[in-house]
Amino acid sequence: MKKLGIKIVQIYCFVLTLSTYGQEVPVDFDMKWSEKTGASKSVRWDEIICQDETGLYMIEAKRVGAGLKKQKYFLEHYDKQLKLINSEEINFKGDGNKRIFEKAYQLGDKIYVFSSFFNEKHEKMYLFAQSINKNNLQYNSDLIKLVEIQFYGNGRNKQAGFNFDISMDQSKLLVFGKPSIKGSDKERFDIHVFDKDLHELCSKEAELPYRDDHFKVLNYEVNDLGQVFVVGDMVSESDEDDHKIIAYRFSKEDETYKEQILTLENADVKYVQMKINNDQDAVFGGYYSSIQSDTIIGCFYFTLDAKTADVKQSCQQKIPENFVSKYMTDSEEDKKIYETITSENPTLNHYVLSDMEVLDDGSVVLIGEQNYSYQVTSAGYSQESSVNPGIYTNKGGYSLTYYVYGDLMVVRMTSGKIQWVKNIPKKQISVEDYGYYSSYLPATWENNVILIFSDHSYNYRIPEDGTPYVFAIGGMSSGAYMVTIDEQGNTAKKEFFSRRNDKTISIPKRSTQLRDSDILLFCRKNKSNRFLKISFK
Amino acid sequence: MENTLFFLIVFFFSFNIDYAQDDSSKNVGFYLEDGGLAESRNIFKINLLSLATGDLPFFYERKLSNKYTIEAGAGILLPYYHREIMDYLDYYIPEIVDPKTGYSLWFQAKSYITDDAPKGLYFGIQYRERRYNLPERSIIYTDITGMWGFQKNISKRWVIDYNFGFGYRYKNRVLFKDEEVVLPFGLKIGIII
Repeated sequence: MKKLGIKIVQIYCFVLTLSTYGQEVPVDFDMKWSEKTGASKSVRWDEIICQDETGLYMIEAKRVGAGLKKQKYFLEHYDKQLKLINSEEINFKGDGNKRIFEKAYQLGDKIYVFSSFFNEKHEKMYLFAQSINKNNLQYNSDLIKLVEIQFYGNGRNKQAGFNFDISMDQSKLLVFGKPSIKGSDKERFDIHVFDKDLHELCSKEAELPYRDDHFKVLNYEVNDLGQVFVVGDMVSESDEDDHKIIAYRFSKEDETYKEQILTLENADVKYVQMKINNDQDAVFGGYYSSIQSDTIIGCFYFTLDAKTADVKQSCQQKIPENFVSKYMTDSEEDKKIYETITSENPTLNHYVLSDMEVLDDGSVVLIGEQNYSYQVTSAGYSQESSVNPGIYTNKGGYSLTYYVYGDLMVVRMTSGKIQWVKNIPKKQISVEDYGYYSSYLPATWENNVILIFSDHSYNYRIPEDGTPYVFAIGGMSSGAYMVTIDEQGNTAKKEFFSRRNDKTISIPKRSTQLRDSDILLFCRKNKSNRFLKISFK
Repeated sequence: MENTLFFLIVFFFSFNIDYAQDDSSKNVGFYLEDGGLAESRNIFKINLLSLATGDLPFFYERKLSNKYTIEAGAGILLPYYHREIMDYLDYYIPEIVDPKTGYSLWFQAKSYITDDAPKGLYFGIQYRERRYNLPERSIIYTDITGMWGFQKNISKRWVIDYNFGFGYRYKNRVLFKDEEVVLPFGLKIGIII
């Protein structure tokens, strides 16, 4: 009996070594926890501004007032030990609080606070900038007006506004201004590029030959050279299902923009994202489907040359058939489960393109996530009507929304073809919280793709085609896991904190990877917030 | 003499330095100057719908904070009366017959829900008193109602406020006796000062 027991243990250990995940992740890192702050769920870290030799600067947002509808912003400074050393509310009491806080960014070695004001008398919206003293987080006396855009019509509830992007080296600021226009007018936007001292390098007013209600700007980015790339989705006026993805390049040397329509062969673009690579070219990547179909069948990318705005490299390739049949087709069991929940018949294995990364070697990585929600309605109980006796009506009853974040599909493309496609199994389900603790954080380090998410501890050695245990917020058998995928597609998984020991849950959606590659993972448990800094070596 | 010349030179350059100094705060001030529209706290209004029942009031609404305002009004009662909406819902006995003169007083505390006051959806508690001087007596109507309304700009300085409510009416200031249900409706036009 004893020998049988030993044999069973030996077989079990052998089976464990056959799992898809390797023993160790191929990246080395340090972890450091910040102190806990006793803050309610109405407080959240909104944005990381920068990290320098003195520590971290970030923006904290706090909901206040009745119904928690208003927001206050605080600029915070943490030291190298991640201890909060200074916090100042961002307000504009000097001018009667007329201005509204927009963003705060680091440009060069300065932090700027950007604010806006809608002047009804001038019918214009103005953007202002003011630098911050990094030592005491007070404003310096250098408030300037940066940009103005036209506000057509009356009142404040218009679509006009400002959006921003910073170049990879933090030397260029893009202000993307959208003036308010009617749907039947042509699509218009303003591009302003500033250097790190907020001197304007380039200013363009673009009016496209498409109607505003037929064109949607999807993304815009500025590279280190000060060139701006914009990508949009144009819907044909004659056919609602006919979409075109169009890319634009703006440069101060050019009189007007350069347009490039990204066309695929016998395919429709379903999702597209844009990033700037190390050569300052714009890379557009995404999923495609057959003509007028919703089912994703392949991936693509285009690289637009920064100098010529021509397509430098492209790739259009179907996802391997064995991956599609294994992971992207609803099983009969899944269909039955879904039909009991809702009368609709969506594709359970529907992937949404959630992230695109461009690695140091130029490879393009697309990360898609299964993501859907459904409602469960309880009918309540019947009660005889007092007004119409004999007639029964439903009383009470409720409806709950469940949020499901499932498997990840990671595709790596290089030199014009798909190198590998990987399925990362996970299942995160939550109720009535919009999936606050769900989803994942993407990161990269030395050509490795890194995915961080909360998972059930039983999934630690789950194979790629395994059925994962559900991660639910209430369960203690969970933790934060890091999955790495190297250049060859080898995966490894590591738990770096557990709910049981560290008494906290990660919030990947609120977390980020800084420009210097450190990761800040925000976490929360009951009423205390804290974050974890992961520094790669 | 030399000292005088020295001081004159210093003052001259001081003046030049002040003149050449970049006064960015004045430039920024131009962009923030909007004739007081962003800081305006007062609105004067008139209720067009109450004219139908013979009431001509003028209102003043004052912003107290980004969420709360108070509104006060006073009006004259015109020499006619038309029955109100709830009178069509039940058996109606004319009470205000051949009115001569009278006055109305209004007071409402408002809480704005969707936007900064005084714009957007609001909820208020309204007190309204009307004294009708009839040929042989006077009648005082006191309405206490909960009001829902929406106020928005129709131009830079003009606003429109449409509202409705539910409450009770008391007569001759005797509360909780012979009360009637009232369903007030209002359409006000106002100017921001």
